[in-house]
Amino acid sequence: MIIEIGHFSTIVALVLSVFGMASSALALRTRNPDWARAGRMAVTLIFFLLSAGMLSLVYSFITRDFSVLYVANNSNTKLPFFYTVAAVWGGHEGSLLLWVFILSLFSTLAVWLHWKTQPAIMPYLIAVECAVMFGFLALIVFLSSPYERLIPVPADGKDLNPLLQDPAMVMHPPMLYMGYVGFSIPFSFAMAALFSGRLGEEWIKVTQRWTTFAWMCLTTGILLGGYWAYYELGWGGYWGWDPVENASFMPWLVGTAYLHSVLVQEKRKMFKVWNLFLIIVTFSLSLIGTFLVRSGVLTSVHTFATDPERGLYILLFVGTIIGIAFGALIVRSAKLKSQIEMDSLVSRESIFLFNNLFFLVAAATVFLGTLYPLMIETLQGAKVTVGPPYYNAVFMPIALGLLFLMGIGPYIPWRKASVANLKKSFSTPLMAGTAMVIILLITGITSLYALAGGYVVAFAAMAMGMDFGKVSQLYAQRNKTNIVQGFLSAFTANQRRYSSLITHIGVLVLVVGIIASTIYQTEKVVSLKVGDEFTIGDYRMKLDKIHEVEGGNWHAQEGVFTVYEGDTLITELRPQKRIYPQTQTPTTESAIHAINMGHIFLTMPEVSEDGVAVARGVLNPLILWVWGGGGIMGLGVILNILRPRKKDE
Amino acid sequence: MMIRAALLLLILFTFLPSVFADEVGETALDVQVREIAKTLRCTVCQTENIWESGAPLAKQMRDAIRERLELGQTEPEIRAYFLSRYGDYILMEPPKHGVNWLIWVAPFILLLVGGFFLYKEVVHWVKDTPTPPTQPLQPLDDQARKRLERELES
Repeated sequence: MIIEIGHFSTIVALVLSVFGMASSALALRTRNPDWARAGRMAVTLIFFLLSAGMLSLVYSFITRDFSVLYVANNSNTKLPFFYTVAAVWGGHEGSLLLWVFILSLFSTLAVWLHWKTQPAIMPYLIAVECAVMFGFLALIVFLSSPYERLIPVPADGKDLNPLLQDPAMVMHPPMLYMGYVGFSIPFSFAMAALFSGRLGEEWIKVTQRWTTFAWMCLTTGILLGGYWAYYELGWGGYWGWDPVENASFMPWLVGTAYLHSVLVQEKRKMFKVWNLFLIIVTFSLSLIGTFLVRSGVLTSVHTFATDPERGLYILLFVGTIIGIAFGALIVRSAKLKSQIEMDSLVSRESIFLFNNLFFLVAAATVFLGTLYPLMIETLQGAKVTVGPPYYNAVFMPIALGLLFLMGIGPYIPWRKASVANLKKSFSTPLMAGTAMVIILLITGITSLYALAGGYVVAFAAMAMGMDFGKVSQLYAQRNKTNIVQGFLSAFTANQRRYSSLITHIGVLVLVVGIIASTIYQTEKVVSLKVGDEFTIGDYRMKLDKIHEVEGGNWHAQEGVFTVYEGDTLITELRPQKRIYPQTQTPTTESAIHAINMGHIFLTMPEVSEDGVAVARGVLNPLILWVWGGGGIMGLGVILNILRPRKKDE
Repeated sequence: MMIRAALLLLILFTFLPSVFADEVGETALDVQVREIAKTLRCTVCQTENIWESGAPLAKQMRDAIRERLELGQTEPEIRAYFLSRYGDYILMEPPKHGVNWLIWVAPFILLLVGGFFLYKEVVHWVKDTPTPPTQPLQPLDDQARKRLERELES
């Protein structure tokens, strides 16, 4: 009964999305604000209806109602409570519902928040939001419903994929989707600007915080995904250039380009077409990303062909959105021609353009790499793999270029940088970079990537450090306070700039972590019996015993290892080899100990019948910098969003 | 006496391993297997190499590599064997021949061509932008300075 309420609510939401589009059209035609208000009400109601839809699904999972097909497919009686809620977005149908639910939430917030200040574009905004919701809701109602019943009712369900039974996996999809969907707000405002012809800087200023928020969610979602892969997949890495990861990385890359590029329009009123182009591409990639992952097309073109209706619908829907968006952009582009004033090649505006070029090429590279196997399979019938070695070779130089631009961009003034400017800002950072390379060489580091990375990181860090130091000193002198208070007042006086620089610092920390833990990872795989030990790096690991452990819906063999450095006991690690009987899926649970900013990472992928275990030890130096860098980036973004409003915002 | 000493030795040797832990390590063969396994794809997984994959098939393939190494085959021979059995799909990256060159060079061509045109365009814009007439700046009086600071603060 409850699930039918959800089903019915979703159908009504679908109807209301059509109503929302119609009433917006009427609002524009009749200029009667009541129609716009009706549209606002439709959007709000869709949110409440979809909340009911989500809740009905959550309820069916919690009560383990296996008469609901989706529940039976993604959970069973033994699945812990915590994961039954996450199972709502564990499959195709539920994750689409989550997507459109978040969209309805954001749309409702946007409509109510900006109603007073942006009355003229509201009908357009409502129409665009409703159109996107309509696309998703029609897919859910007609082709991919999570509300279907299963008759006869099975005694027990299947299981949620054991790999997904993990706290990071509970948070990862909603975060990612909040990122994808978050970009729909600036996208809708951009479309509203295009349709209404109000093509000034207003839409960019209004959506600046939305963009930053979406970017933060997407970044967090990607990092959570990496964190999950790190300790759940058991190979000691966090990023495999897997098509699913790439699908989320592409909108991130273009979204980051957009995030920077809008600054030029805010400050200099240039590149209007370009910014519209970037946000359209970002949101298109969000849609493509969602569907690439959810349609199964990435594993093989054949999965796509087995379900042609759904695939065709998705193609048509995404194609329509992208087509309309670009069509509108092309039609309006004549009106958008802005007078470009560029005083020098060496200026902030120009650096932003090159930043955009690098981000777009990076995104194109990931796009090409992800879809190349599909292209080859369709054209030649042959299969190829585009894996990490490809990206390491091709993507890394581009990333280093971006890092370098990040080091110089914030210190090149708008309009024009003089030679004196450049000398003052960059001579010390250049020396810092050189010094870093020398230090690295002395410590025996010869990898080209490590050296180049070290150079760029030291350069950028020094440029930033000098900026922070100088401005803190300035404020301290003027207010006659100490340097820390000087820093704080400098920060609050220009919170937007300095919170962004904190995010940049996070990027540098992250990059150091990535370089160190990728290039200097050491691993060892040994077969050993109880009582044996093996050495990896400075650490000695002794297998004390192997015993059986019971979990709610799994059982495992657990190895108990004591870890010594020299003769001192550091810790005990307990990796597991788990079996989830319901699906007979084995997983390896890693055991991790943090030491010196790095990790000792241990898994036990096999235990044979005669008690010989295979142990895999991995040392990941500085890996905590990866997660720490992510945290610092997040802090910077939060400070950016929470900055006090200025008069013109 | 002799017998007793021999017995003692025997006992000692039997129990030694449990008193002093056995140090196990990787053999050169293990390392070789790993190096090869890292370059081959697990055909039933999503872009995972057979070293990192936990799939049963990946284990079989690792064992196959080991057997072939033990038979004295070299790394290129083993890779060629897998390539002949599975085709290009088995490699972790597109082999650099034929149409695959496209994907290897495309990013750099994009960057170079894009960079070239962007550079030309920016230079063009700079040329079209009139240089603002420069006037020597007058030093700020106190009132203006105060106002400026207020504005900067807000």
